[in-house]
Parts: sequence; C-alpha cells; structure tokens
Amino acid sequence: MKLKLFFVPKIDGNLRKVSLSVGIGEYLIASTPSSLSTWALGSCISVILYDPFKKVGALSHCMLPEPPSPSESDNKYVSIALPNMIHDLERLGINCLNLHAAVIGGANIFGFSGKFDIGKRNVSKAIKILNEYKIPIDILDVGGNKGRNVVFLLSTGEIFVSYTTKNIFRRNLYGRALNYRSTTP
Amino acid sequence: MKNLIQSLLQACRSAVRKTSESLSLLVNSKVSGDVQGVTLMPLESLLVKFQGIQDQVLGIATRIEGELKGFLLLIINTDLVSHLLDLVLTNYEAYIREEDLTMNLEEDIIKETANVIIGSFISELNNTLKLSVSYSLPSIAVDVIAVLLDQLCANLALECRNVLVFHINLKFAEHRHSVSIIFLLKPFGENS
Repeated sequence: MKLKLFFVPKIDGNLRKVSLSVGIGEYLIASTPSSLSTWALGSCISVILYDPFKKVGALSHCMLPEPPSPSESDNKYVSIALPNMIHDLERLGINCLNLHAAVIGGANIFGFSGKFDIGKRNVSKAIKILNEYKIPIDILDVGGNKGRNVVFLLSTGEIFVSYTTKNIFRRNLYGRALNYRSTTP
Repeated sequence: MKNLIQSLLQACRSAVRKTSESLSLLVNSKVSGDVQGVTLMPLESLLVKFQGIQDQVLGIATRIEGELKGFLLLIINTDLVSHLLDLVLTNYEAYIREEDLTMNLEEDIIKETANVIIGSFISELNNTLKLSVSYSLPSIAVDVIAVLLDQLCANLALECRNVLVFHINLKFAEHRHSVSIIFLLKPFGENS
C-alpha cells in the first residue's frame, strides 16, 4: 500500500484538532492511528516518510535546503532533517528499504527567480537525498504559487492537501474595472 | 544596536508620514499612518505568530537592498482592495480608455499604489538616515499571511536567524480596514 494523495478544499476541523502539528524546523514520528499535520507551507517543504507494513511514518517541515556552514544541526534544513528522520526511523526498527516518500510544498509565492526561489531549491535537495537513500517518491506535489496545508493519516497512508488560496478568489478579488465599465455611461 | 533601532524607528515614523501624504494625494482621500512597534525575533517565531490566521489577503512584496537588507510586505485586506480600486478608478476616470478596462488594469493599479507606498517610504528612509537603500519591483500574491511571509523569511534565513520587524498601519478615512506594512530587516552585523 503506497502513499495516496487527496486534494481537499479545506482540512476537516476535527482532523485538524486531533492531528499532531509539526512546526517549522521540526519533524515528528508517529504510528497508526495517529495523524500528523503541518500548516501554511509556502516555499517550505514537507517530506513524509511511511512504512506501509508497520504503519509508522514521519513528517517534516523544512525551510531551507542546506545550512550555510557544516557545523549547523538544525532540522529546518532539508539536508539535516531528512537523514535525521531516516536514522530515527531505523532506530525504531523500520527498514529504510520499506519506506515510501511524499514531497509537498516548495511554492514560489511571489514568483522570485534564481537564488530567491527557495522552494525549488528545497524540492531539489529533498529529491536528491531520497534518491541517495533509494526511497521511492510516491507523491510529488510541489511548486506553483499557492500555500498548502497537509494532513497525513498513518492508519491508511492517506495524505490530504488543501491549498491556502483558490484561483477563484483571485478572480473575484478584481473585477472592479469590469463593474466600473458597466456602471459608467 | 539599541540606538540604531531607535534611529530606525524615528526614520520609519517620518517615512510613514511621507507615505501617508503621497497616498492621500493618489487616492484623493485622507490616509493616516503609524508605526505600531518594532520587535527583534527569531524568523520562525514570526511565522508561528501568523500561522493560525486563515483569512486570505493581497500581499505585495519588495526586496530591500543596499545598506539595509530585507523585505517590505504590504498586506491589504480584500475589502480594502475593492475600496482602493474604486478610489483610483474614480479619480483617474478621464485617463482611462475603454481598452484599458481589463483584469490587468486592476493589478496594475494595485502595483502602482504599492509603488507609491514603497517608493515614498524608502526615499524618506534614505533621506532621514542618509543611507543608500534600493528596492526591487513589487510582486503580488494572494494567500494567507503566514504563507506570504514564509518565502520572505526563508530568504532572510539564508543570512540570519533573527529579524527586525516593524509593524506599520496606513488607515484610510471612511474605511475600517488598513494597509499593514511588515518591514523585515536583517539585524545589523548578524550573520548566520
């Protein structure tokens, strides 16, 4: 049973309440029947690792691809958090070869280019590390220009993603000029 | 550092006065502004502060470069976007041609308004502090505040752990909402 992705308009309020929330620069490991969640991913990314046999998994919320100096050990960096998550799972008896991954987030909200597009760099780093550990990536919901909320159910391997803004909202936001045209003689 | 923050705070107050004047002229309506405070905080704490707010807003971000480094984020409530567009469209009616009346026109109006706010603010900051600070073209996004701040904080996190946050409000007469300006500065002398 692989990881499965569902897009929902809004994360269910009860699910939001009962899930264990993962903050920026953190990761959490949990087992069934728990659920893990993280909120307001912009250029940050969330990497989910899941052993479908033991129904144990982890979810991270990382801000940057790698630290500026090798002495850093903060889990806000993808290059630090991801190996730490894998090693912690292995310490709990999970075989790395059974893990499946999902990478979510890494948006470019303001359309920055080059080195300022941190989201793209976060995603590339996560994919590179997962490939090094030979962990298959079942789900890749990355990029774009919208924020994301994520909930991961360990009992089923289901991931629910809701975008924090909708295209229709932007369309409705404007429309003044068109109203103006219709009311101006 | 404390003296520097005080000088910056004073300069911000002066910049907000200037910005309010320029904006009042643009929209032909009284705009008043105030600096609500300045805080030095870890970047992650700033994001956590706004994480629970699910209201979607219009955000306009510009990068600050030169002797000060950081970002200026304008946050405009959606009701106020409509009000702003009404004010500008009404005031500049004579200059608007039929072919201009597109969705782009509205985005252009918002960008131009942002340009007036950012331009006046940075120019007055430069004058008061005798600094050379420039800014990039503004970028627009619609999302929740925490998401808007996320990309800006991530960019700052490449160079520092903490951020100086100035909270500024620009209030329009006869409207309950205000434009919030979150001025994020890399603290002086801090490297990661």
